[in-house]
Amino acid sequence: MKKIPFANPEIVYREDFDDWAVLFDPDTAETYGLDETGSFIWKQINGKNSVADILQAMPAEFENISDDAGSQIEKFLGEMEEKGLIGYRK
Amino acid sequence: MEQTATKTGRPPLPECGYYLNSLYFYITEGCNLRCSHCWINPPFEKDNRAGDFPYVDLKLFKHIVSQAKALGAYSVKLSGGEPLIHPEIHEILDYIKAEDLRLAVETNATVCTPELARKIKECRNSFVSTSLDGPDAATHERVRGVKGCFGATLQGLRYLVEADLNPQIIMAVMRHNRDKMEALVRLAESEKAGSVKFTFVTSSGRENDIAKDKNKTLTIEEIIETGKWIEKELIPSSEISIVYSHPMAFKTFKKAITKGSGSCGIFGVIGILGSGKYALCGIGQTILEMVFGDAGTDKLADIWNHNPLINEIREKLPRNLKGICADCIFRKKCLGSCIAMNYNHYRDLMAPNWFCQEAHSLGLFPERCIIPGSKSEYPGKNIG
Ligand code: SF4
Repeated sequence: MKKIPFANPEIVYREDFDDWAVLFDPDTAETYGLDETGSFIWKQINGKNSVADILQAMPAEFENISDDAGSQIEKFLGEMEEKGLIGYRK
Repeated sequence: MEQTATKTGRPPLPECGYYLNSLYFYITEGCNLRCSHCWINPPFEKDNRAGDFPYVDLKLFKHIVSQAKALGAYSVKLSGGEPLIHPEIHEILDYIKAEDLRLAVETNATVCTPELARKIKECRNSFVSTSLDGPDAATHERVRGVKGCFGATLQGLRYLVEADLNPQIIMAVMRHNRDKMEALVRLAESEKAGSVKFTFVTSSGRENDIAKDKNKTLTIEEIIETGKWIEKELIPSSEISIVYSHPMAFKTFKKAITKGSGSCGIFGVIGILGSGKYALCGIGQTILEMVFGDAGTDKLADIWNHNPLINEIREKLPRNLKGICADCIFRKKCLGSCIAMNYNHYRDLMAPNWFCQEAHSLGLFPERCIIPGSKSEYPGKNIG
């Protein structure tokens, strides 16, 4: 079954002019930085897109997608889940 | 139960739950320059000797360090006044090396010698920053108040470079030297300094003449704009590392996240003044309530574990920060940037950062850093 990530609705997302973004958790007051790729992935997390969907959307935005991009996205999502920034729908 | 050393080689965690990481020694109250923007305002010592003013002597220095190591300390910072005019500076450096402590030195470098530079270099992870407020004698000496000090600092800087210390040049930016920032970077490049840091003198909260004269300092708007110019034009134009002292909200997200918080490590630091008193930091030289005890008579462990003001800071920071800092997405990383300065401005331990609060009241604080639904008001009056 496809795992669908969804964003914790409490998390505040803010973008900077240098393409970096920050996620702020009001519960813990922690801030997490996202580079351009991380920021793109965050914006794809809408409760509908699966990891495969996110991977598929990447070539429109980035060149030279690496062969292991899928597993890198999963790893990144796993870290976000650990921090309470996202959850999964089955 | 008896306490035992931890596996990492560090002593057991102190009773208060915080290691003391670093000692900030303002080892002499004397200084051989008369800097117009200095907020500590030390007594002027024209003969390059600190002996006429209170200083932490070697015996007391050792006494403090040995107690601090039992609380976890692994680094010291030497500042002043001017630390290199301390009458026992050679012995102090030898001791720091023997104790394998990391070392940071803040100096005007005017009395630095090849031997001092070498001794600093021999300490673990040594880092030196040197003040230079312009690329030429006229600009620098206008701030530093002593004729000939530009040449002396440049010579000292060269000794530090020769000792492979990659010294950082720190420039205090005011109105009269703002146009010399780029030239200072070029000088730093040609002298092979390690990095350049720009700090900005503001017209508030410091016990000195220049800061009280608004015409001599930049406005908040100008400081913000200068930060953007550094980021967009100066940094890309140089191979040398360039940093600036704006609070995190005024840096790019990338810089704010990847280059550290810019906060001072307050939970792991204690200051020691030239008078031998323990204090939050150098602020204790001008604000008595920030002094915690006497190193000659009080036990450091008692102060570190039980001082009410230190414990209040641990308990309240950053949760109880006020004003714009309470509403800023960076408050946990930034911790209000410098609570000593904030206290100096408002006489309130949890006061917001003056610069950010003023910028906010002028509508200049970056919207992207404000937590949704915040009010960010602070009724406190700036009394500095
Ligand atoms: S508002 Fe306070 S916490 Fe935020 S960047 Fe400024 S000083 Fe730091």
